[in-house]
Amino acid sequence: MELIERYVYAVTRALPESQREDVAKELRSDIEDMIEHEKGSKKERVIKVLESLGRPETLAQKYKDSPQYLLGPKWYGLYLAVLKKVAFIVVPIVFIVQLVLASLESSNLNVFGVILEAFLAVPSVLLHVLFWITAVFVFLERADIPNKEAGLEWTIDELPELPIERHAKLSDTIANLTFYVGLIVVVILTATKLGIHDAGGVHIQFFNPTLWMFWLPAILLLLAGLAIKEAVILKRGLSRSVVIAGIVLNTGLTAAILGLYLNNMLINPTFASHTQAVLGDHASFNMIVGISMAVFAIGYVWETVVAIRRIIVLNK
Amino acid sequence: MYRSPLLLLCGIAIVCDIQYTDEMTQKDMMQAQVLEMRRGAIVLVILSHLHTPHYGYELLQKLEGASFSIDAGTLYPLLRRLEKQGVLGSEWNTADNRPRKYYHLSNDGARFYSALKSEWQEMTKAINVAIKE
Repeated sequence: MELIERYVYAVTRALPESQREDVAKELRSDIEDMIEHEKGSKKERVIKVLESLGRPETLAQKYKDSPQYLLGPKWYGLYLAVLKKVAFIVVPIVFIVQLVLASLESSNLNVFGVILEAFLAVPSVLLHVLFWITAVFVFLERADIPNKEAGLEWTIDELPELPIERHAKLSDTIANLTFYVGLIVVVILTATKLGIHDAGGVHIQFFNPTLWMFWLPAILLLLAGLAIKEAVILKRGLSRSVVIAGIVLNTGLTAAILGLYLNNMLINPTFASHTQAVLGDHASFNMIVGISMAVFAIGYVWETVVAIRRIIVLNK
Repeated sequence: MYRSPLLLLCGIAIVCDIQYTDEMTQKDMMQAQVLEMRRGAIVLVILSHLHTPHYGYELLQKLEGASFSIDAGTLYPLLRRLEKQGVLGSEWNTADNRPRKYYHLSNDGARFYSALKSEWQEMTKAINVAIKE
């Protein structure tokens, strides 16, 4: 009957050539036997038997004797651990590299576009990481290598150290670190590349040029200090001195930036007037800058509150 | 106006679902364990029948009769695997109206079977001692 033939075909086509004919012959005979003992019309019986045998692909796998899963208990634990470790390392690196690359590429710096590009690079890299690591482990699962040969036998040396009680979430710290480094890159690139070209093709900077003497380097140093503080937290965990250092640096940074802004020394006045000329309306430009400053100030207050809370916790 | 009875119904549904799930998981656990026990013994039972040649479906019926029901889709590949491992031999019998593949214990298979049988008897002794307490 055609249904039977189609079923047998569906099962055997997943099997290697050598097995195919024999399995087909045997399966047909078995199916016929089962049909004889069913009740109902011929067609009903055939359908009942075939459905009881189940999905042909699944049955084929049973005939094949290869593992019916991608990753089994043997390798799964190590697989997850490797995946996590690699992702944690790769993501911040990729983000920062993308930031630098994207900004080097664009001549007229679009800061938000650059940041967006950096963010967009991350999911695709994560996908690659996921795929290649999984592929390697699926291969290991099927390769049937005894652990010793693969050099993957576990020895006591591999034991991880006890985690330091950092009192700060690891993901938070890494995120902060990436953020500060990213911010340093952004500031450098904004200072050097962001700007408009005036009528003569001369590049007008975003930041007030007088800032180059002292304030820009100072701000960069403060940001670097904050990044280093996060790195210290990463290595040694929170301590009172680190938190206090953080508060000092943050205060310095916020005071510097807000001070410059309120004294109209932050943005290049030529830039501002050109934006007015180009956009026909510098009120909105001022508003954007103003809002960013406000956000910045709020961020400062928030961080300081968090820092003070941490000190209180540490004092306990 | 329709809120409270609706909320009440939701509450009842959630409680019923939780209770139902609890019962189900116990039943599932039972089923899973029984399945494991059967799976451990099935090869022994199959081999015990194959001192005389049987074809697939015939064996299936005999197993059902001995209250050792097994899926057809599990038995047929298992027989092939046992043959591949040298425990069983097979031949196509063209006698009846339809050719059928008959399986029987090979010489190695017979030795394998008696070794397996004594292992089982040892194990059952130990288990019986354990569960008597």
